Amino acid sequence: MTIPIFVVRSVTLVPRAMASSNSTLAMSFSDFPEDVQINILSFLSPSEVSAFACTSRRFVALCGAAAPNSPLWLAICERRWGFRTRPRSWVSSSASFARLYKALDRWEHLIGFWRRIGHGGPGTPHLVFFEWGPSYIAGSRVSPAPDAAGGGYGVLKVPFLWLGLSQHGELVSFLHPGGRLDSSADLLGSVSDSSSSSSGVADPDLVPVSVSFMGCSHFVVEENRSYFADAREVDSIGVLEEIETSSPPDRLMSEIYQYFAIRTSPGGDKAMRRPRKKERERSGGRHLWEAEHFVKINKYYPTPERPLQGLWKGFSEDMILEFYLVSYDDIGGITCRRVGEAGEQFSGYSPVFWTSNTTFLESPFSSDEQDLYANREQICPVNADGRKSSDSSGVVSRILCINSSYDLVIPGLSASSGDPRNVEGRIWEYDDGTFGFGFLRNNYIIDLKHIAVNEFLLDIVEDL
Amino acid sequence: MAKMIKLVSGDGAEFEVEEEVAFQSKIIKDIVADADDVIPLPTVSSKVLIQVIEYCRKHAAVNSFPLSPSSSAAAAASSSSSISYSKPVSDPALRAWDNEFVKLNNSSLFDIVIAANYLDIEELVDLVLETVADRIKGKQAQEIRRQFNIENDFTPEEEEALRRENSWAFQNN
Repeated sequence: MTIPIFVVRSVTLVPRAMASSNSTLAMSFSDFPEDVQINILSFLSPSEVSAFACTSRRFVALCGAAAPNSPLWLAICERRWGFRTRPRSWVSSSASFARLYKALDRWEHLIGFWRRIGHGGPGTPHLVFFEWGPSYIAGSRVSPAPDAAGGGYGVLKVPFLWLGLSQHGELVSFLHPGGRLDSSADLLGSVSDSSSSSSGVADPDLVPVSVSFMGCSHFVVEENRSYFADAREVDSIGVLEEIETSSPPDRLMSEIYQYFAIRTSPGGDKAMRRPRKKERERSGGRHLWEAEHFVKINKYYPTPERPLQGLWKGFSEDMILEFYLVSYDDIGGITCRRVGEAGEQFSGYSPVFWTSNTTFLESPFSSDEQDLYANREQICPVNADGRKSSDSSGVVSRILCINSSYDLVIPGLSASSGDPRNVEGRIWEYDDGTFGFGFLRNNYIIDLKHIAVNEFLLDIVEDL
Repeated sequence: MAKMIKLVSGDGAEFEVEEEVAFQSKIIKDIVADADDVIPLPTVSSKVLIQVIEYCRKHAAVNSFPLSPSSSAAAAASSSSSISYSKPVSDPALRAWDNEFVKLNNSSLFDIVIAANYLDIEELVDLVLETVADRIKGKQAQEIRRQFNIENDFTPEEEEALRRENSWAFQNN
């Protein structure tokens, strides 16, 4: 410890007035004020909390997971997720915050980008983005915006899936097959007005679903056929009472749950009931919606070691905005695939280029390379007045050789599958970190931009 | 010339400190606002006050810069919760200094917890609370009791039942 630099003007020794810090009685954790104890314990994981709970009766009570309104478990949730969502808004006042912890811990894995695999409805986007809402997690389908909206690089973000907790602390999730709620903006913003959230709730197309993880990188969303059967068992009178008192506006999920419970309970409030015909259809044998599988896109942004990695968007040779995913594999190679629409070749995940040699060519570049780049045209969106909106990314800092052939090449075979230059190409990395690519067979450059930065989607366009 | 504040410890020693150093304590800042430059702190001993002043002096330079947008967003986010999130110390040298600062035995550490909490010095509170938490991690109940002087008021049967119950609850992580 360094000697502090301050002035001690006078040291008048007075008798010790303090009662604390008696040297024979060491201070105990139990002597801390409760809020200090809670703050300390909020740094711990659940297993560490349970170890601490066993120390004394006082702390069993403080650490108990089953207790409703546990200030400690709320503090643990706030510390871990308070920046991203409002843990307090997820549950009603009588809920167990330890259950909230388990739910958030489990569903946190959803945040980020996922890619739909397998079949799907025609025109359904493959790219899906999950983000935190104030009292739920929302999944949105992400697709290129039509008609060069948003300066050409705009994307549509259409929420379709919501996950939250019911009144009773159970995990509930809902899907909108049409892809869109009228009040989607209300859902994803801070819902401060109860009338706007209830208008979102009164949507007959919401489908209760279950979200099941198969490992960390794969989940399935399936229609939850047993949802209405369960809801019927809820005490209808109790639910009615809850509906009549005003509920906090941002507990969207519990309101949705209540709405469905009311709809299926025999004595439900007439004003809230939908036509009977729809109910019969729901509880009948028909599938409203097919299951969807998603796999995680783990690395959607570049790193210093992997500068090309991530989810990108750019204009293809057909002048259409497309999404591209560039991944590095374990054996030192790079591949790029297009993340596209359903019903396409390769199920909307078609290969674009690859390379096994990740050594960049550095400046100064040979005259051949410079010629290769100089005579090319960058594909840009065209403005309304017909002019190209070229915001060219700048100076080329490095070059990489790539290949677009996915045919098996058998060495030694005299008949080759064509001019090898047809499949050869280049990546031109710009000094701002983005890059463009092109092939020797034509003279285009496809410039790529980031789809998202720091968990935020860029260039979102309103779906009009 | 920097304005000086006089702090008086519980055992009567007086310490003159620059205003910006002392103002890291929200309590002192409030008291001085009521036009009082001599601040008695009867519950804080000289030994602890010296350590707290040392911390505040070290961190005064960092805090004199305006809050970055991220930390003011954090402040806004945390205003409705009981947890206060001060900006995490980004300067590695300062972080290293902090880690040295908290190399204290539990008794001294607890004294600083009480003092920092009373004086409401946000960053110091976060630092020492997390340090205490780190000393709980990985320990079983018996060891925690010993280290933190918690009295075991269970019967042996109660304790055994509790251990079984709690380990079940969090086994599947």
